[in-house]
Amino acid sequence: MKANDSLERGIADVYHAEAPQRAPDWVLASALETIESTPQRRVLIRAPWRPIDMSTFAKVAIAAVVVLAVGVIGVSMLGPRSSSVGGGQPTASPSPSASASPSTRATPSGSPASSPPPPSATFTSTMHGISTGYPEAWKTSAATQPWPGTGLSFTSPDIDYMYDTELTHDLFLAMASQPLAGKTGEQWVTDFLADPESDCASGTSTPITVDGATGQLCGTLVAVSAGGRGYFVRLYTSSDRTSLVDVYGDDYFTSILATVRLHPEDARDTPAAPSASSS
Amino acid sequence: MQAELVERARRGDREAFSVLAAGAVDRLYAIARLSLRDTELAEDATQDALVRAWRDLPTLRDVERFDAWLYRLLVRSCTDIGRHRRRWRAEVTILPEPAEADSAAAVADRDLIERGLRRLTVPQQTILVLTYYVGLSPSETADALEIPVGTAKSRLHYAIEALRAALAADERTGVGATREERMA
Repeated sequence: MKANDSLERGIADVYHAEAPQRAPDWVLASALETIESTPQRRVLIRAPWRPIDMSTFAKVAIAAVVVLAVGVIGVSMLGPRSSSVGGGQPTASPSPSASASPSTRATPSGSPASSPPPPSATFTSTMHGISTGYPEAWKTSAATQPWPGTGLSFTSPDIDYMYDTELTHDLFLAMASQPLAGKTGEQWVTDFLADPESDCASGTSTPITVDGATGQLCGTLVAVSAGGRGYFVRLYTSSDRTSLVDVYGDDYFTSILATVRLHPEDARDTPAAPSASSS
Repeated sequence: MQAELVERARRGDREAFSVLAAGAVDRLYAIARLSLRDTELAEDATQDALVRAWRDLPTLRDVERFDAWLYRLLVRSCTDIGRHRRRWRAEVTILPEPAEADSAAAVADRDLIERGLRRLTVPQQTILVLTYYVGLSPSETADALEIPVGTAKSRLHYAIEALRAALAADERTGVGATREERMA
């Protein structure tokens, strides 16, 4: 028998001899009492709101760089549709689908790397009429219900999610769309970003074009309108994990947006069949 | 059954959460007590983990993973509370406990190991507890600690090595009696 086995067995023996069989009753009672007055947390799709103490000049400079970067990527990737992020022909699919390029290896999830995994896989939402690239190693969760425009929670069944397998609600992409319902596209975008749930109400937004659709960029949240629908795409990184914010920042979001395709004609405003799947 | 309770609790059903909490509190407390090696801190960590569980339950996507997720929350609570303990311990001198005469080899070994465990950091204690008390696999331990599996294996290895070093140091400095002396 190895010495290690003996030591490990000794550790187990110590633990089983020392472990209390029961917690004091008041521990549970006290916890439950605290819970009575503790609201549950709703995971809002918030942007990591960093430029809070930036000067106006810095904000303008960053906005200019973002717009420039978006334009450069659009030129390099989309040819004639050079003034926009994303592009190409919309693709329709009978069910939410996710596909990955086998030639691209994604950075292992869970531990933030200095260079984030490329959005080499594609998720196509039939509920919301949008597709986007996302890291191959992430999981997807397809929306099964129309999005009413409120309730931006990570567990909402009306939003499409692509999320890191280990970090889950600390790192994910979310997107949805809804009919403009009589609003102009510009008004829808303005109203959406003004909603405190979007977490852009106190922030600065800049004009942006995504797959030919115009809208506003606010941190790592974009809202655009196309084909009579309002869309949002959010890259969420938990502010509790500052290293994530550094890696999955504005540049990464820009690379995601370059893969976004809007196909409002494929959007549905009725609940999906029960067989709708997620991966 | 548990999945249904978790689903209900996730939607804000406090009664369902009470049932879940009652079923988990003893296990959580035992883990916290062994990891922190302090009764009061373990009580605090257990309460903290339960409150966190209630608050963050809507973020749990896979209800089947409730237990693993609960371990994760407890580890966070122990780590946070352990930081305070470390600061406090840095300000005091830890005197070796007087060794009790005991002729039983098993008890003597256990006493040595117990003393060695006290010298480990909370993260080292935690991975040992999850592995040798709870009986989690390396991947389950990694999940609870929110670290890659390779890192979990490495941390476990170093925790055992640290314990081995602590035992050797005790014997070298004659804290208590050596194993041979105890067994004589």
